[in-house]
Amino acid sequence: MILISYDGSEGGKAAIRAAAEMFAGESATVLTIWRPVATTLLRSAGGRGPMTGTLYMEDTDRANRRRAERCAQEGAALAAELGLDAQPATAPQRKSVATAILARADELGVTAVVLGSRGRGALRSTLLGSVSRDVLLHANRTVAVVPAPAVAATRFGRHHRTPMEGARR
Amino acid sequence: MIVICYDGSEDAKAAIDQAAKLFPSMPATVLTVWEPFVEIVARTAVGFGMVPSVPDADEIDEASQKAAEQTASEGAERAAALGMNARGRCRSQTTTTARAILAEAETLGAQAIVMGSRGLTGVKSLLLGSVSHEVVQHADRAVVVVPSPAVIASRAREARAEMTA
Repeated sequence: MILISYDGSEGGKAAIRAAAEMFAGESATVLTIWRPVATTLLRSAGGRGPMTGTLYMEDTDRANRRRAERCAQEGAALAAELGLDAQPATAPQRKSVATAILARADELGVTAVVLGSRGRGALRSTLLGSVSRDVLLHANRTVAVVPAPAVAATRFGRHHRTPMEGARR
Repeated sequence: MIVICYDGSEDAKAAIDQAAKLFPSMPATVLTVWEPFVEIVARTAVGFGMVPSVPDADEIDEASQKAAEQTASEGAERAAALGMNARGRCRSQTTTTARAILAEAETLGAQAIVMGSRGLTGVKSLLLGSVSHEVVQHADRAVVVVPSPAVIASRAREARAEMTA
C-alpha cells in the first residue's frame, strides 16, 4: 500500500500519474489534508481577539472537510482510472501538513509516500515552507517527490543540460 | 526503467534494497558518479598554492573511474541478487554529483531516480551538502528518497522526544 498526498493541484495530479506508473496495480490511499479553523486561528494569532463563536467554527470545519473529501474522491477516481486500487481519505492538518501526512502514513503502514512538488526555489521555500521538503526532512519511510509538469518543464532538461557532462562507459 | 544512485555506502545499499522491494519488475541502472581530478583541484582550491609534484591527473582519473566501475557493478550485483534486472554504470561529474545524476537519468529516459538520504539537516546539510536535496530541487522527473536505517532510527527518537516534551 502506498499513500498519495493530493490537494487537487497540478503537482498533485502529476503525483498520481507518476504513482500509477511506478506502482501499477498497487493499492493506494489518496489523502487530502484540510485545515481546521482552530489551527488557522492559532497560526495567524487571530485567537487573541474576540471569537465569533464555536458554532461558526464547526460549520467552517465541516465545509472544509467536505471539500477535502470531494478532492480526495476526485484524486482516487483519477488513480483508479490509471490502474491503481485507490481509496480516498482525509485528515485534519496537525502541526503542519507534513506531520499530518506522515502520521497517516504511520497508521496505514505504507511502503511509500508519493507527493507533488510545487518547486519553490531556495529563498521562497525558506520563507513560505514547502510540504515536500518538510516531509523529506521528517520521513521515516520512502518518499517519492514528483515535480508538476510546469515545474519539470523549467528544470534540468530544458535549461541546465551540460553537454560536457559525458558518460564514460 | 529506474536509476538507482549508488556510492557503496550503507545508505546507498538501503536504497537498492528498498528499490528491489518497491520496483521488483522494473529494469534498473545502478549509477556511480565519480569526480575527475581537475574538478577536485578546482573545488578544494589546491591550485592556489604550490603543488610540489604535479600528479598525473590521467592516472588518478583512470583509478577513480575503475573504482567507480567496481562500485557500480557491486551495486548491480546486489540488486540482481534481490531479483532485479540491473546493470552497473558510472559517470564523471563536471559540476555536482546531483547534476551528473540528473543528466544520466535524462540520457537513459529513466522514469524515476532512487537514492538514499543521509538525513542531514540544518547547518550540517549546508556545510556538507545534500545530494538528495539538490536532486529533488532540480529534477524533472520523480525522485524516490529512501532514508537509511540510521536516519529512521534517529527520527523515531526525535519524534518520541517531541511527544514527551
